[in-house]
Amino acid sequence: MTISITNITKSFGNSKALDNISVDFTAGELTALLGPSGCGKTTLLRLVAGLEQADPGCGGRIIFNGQNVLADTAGKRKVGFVFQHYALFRHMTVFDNIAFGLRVRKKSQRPTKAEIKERVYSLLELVQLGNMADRMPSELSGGQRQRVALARALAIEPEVLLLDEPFGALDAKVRTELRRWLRQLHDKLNCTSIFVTHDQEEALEVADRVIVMNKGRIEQIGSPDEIFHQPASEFVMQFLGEVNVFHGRIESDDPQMVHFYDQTGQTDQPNARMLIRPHDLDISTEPDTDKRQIPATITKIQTAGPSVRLDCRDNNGKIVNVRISHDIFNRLQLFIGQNIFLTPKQLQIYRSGQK
Amino acid sequence: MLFFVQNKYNKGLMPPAWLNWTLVVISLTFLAVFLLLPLVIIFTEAFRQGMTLWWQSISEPEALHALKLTLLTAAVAVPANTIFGLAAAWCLAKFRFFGRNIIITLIDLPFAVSPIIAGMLFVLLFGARGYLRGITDSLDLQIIFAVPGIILATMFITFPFVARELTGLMTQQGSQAEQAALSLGASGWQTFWHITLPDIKWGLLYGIILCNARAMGEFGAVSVVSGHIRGKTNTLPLHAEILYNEYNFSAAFAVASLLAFLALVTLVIKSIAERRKKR
Ligand SMILES: Nc1ncnc2c1ncn2[C@@H]1O[C@H](COP(=O)(O)OP(=O)(O)OP(=O)(O)O)[C@@H](O)[C@H]1O
Ligand SMILES: [Mg+2]
Repeated sequence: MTISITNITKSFGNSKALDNISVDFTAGELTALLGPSGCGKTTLLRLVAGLEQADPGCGGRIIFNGQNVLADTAGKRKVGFVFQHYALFRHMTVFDNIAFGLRVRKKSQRPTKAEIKERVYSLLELVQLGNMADRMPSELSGGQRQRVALARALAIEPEVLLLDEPFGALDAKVRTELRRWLRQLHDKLNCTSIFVTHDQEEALEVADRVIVMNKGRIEQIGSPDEIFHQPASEFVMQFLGEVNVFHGRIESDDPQMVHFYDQTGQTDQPNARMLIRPHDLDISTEPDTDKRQIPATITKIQTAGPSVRLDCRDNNGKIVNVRISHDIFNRLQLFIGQNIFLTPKQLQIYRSGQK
Repeated sequence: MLFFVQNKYNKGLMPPAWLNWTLVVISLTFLAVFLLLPLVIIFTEAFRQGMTLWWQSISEPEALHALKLTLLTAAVAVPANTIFGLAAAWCLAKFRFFGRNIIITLIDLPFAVSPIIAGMLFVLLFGARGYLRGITDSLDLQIIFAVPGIILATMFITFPFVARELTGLMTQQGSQAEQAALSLGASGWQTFWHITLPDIKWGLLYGIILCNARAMGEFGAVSVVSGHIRGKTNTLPLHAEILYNEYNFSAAFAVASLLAFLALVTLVIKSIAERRKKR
């Protein structure tokens, strides 16, 4: 099922939770909606599911496979929705929870008891909860509840699966396991899936495509690689990981003509910002004729972890974070108080937030 | 608080034993004097002159009629207020709309005004020179000093119980489960029946019981609108009062014991409902 959203706006009172959003979801893809808390991820998902009505009069459309579904109720859209806080039916067993979507069907479309039973057990098998059919939701762990919610959504054989922070409430290790499992599941199911997350690592690892949102707008849509290596705006770059920010001036359109404050000490107003990730800085102990070097002093060294983290201070007293491999660290024999020179391997320059 | 923390007897944050005991004794004495004692007196007085007289007092036609009227009143007021309460709580809990807070305040109105005032209100509306007298007259309907008035007054007094009980409960539960049901294809009715109702059933029962207790026991408002016509517009509480004023104590207490019995049954069901609701 392809989903196409055009010009959708949604306000709550005076504030716009979604501001003129347009985006397409390709059939069979797993898309991640990424963004900070309150940026409208849940609202967008609920609009697709039909649990929320878009503002009328904005000419917005939501199209499933060529059909405008804006007027359809949630039940009619046949969308599997997994809620941020599971929303299991507390007074029903796991079995009854999963069977609910089948049992409420009209008599003519309702499977027989035996068929329902078979289907529920195969779903329980799928979410690896085969022996928990008779438990109540309160007797399950967070991860198990999450999987029951997923099985319940899958019971109605949806062509669209929406997951709102499916792993939000779980600890880091379970999260990593579950998201890989979700990816495999998605490949098996052949449906169009959208999942919400505010964990960039999760989005980059699992999704085919990532949509980065901010304050009700879409900042960037792209593959995980594009999002990570060519962030379209300063917001995306900042959101996707640690960065060092330098203020500077762009004198002409030639990017070589950027002057950086921190380095030159010019007094002109800065009009551009240069963003460099900690792992995109090369360290050398000797100065180079290359003008782009940033001289700095090491103030802190942290070696615990997969890479070494250095806190440095440049000539203006600004802290610069650097990450290098243990190999390089050992080879250079760095120590606190040492004067070093940083060379950016990759950097992004933004004028007023944009490229 | 400081007192508890500094106390040398404290184990964890428990108050010292003597304070504990003093508080327990005070509350138990209070309970005994104001709640238990009257109950005991009602039953001893009721049966003082023996079982036969008690039975006679409650089975004479006027008493029976009062009992019937009381049950009729409850039978109309309780279902009506249950439906109203459910509808009101649903709107208030699941939607945010203009005027919501005003409605919440209005629902508490019957608790805030004196029952006598409530009764007077109906007299003002439907009495001899009442504002709506024209309409009721044209329908040939007698409201004041008749059964409809009693039922109306009782409904007014008891309408907050279910609504209040459920609004809090349903607000706290939110509407996520219902939305999940809707997105799974359930109809509005299926969602209410299979999802909403099971979640609130003990709270609902609790509200209904309180509503029923008040509907059967209401005195003030009913007293104003009823006119105390024996064998016609007397409910049990009114009947008990009349007997008492006539110095017919044992009969008055016999009727009172009937009411007290209804109240006790209510309390038992209520405490069961309350325990289930907490789970
Ligand atoms: N029912 C509502 N009434 C009023 N405002 C709302 C409602 N639902 C959402 N909002 C507002 O809309 C904005 C977007 O909310 P939304 O729930 O979509 O955020 P989100 O991106 O899912 O955040 P989170 O990551 O915290 O779940 C927020 O500013 C929120 O306050
Ligand atoms: Mg959310």
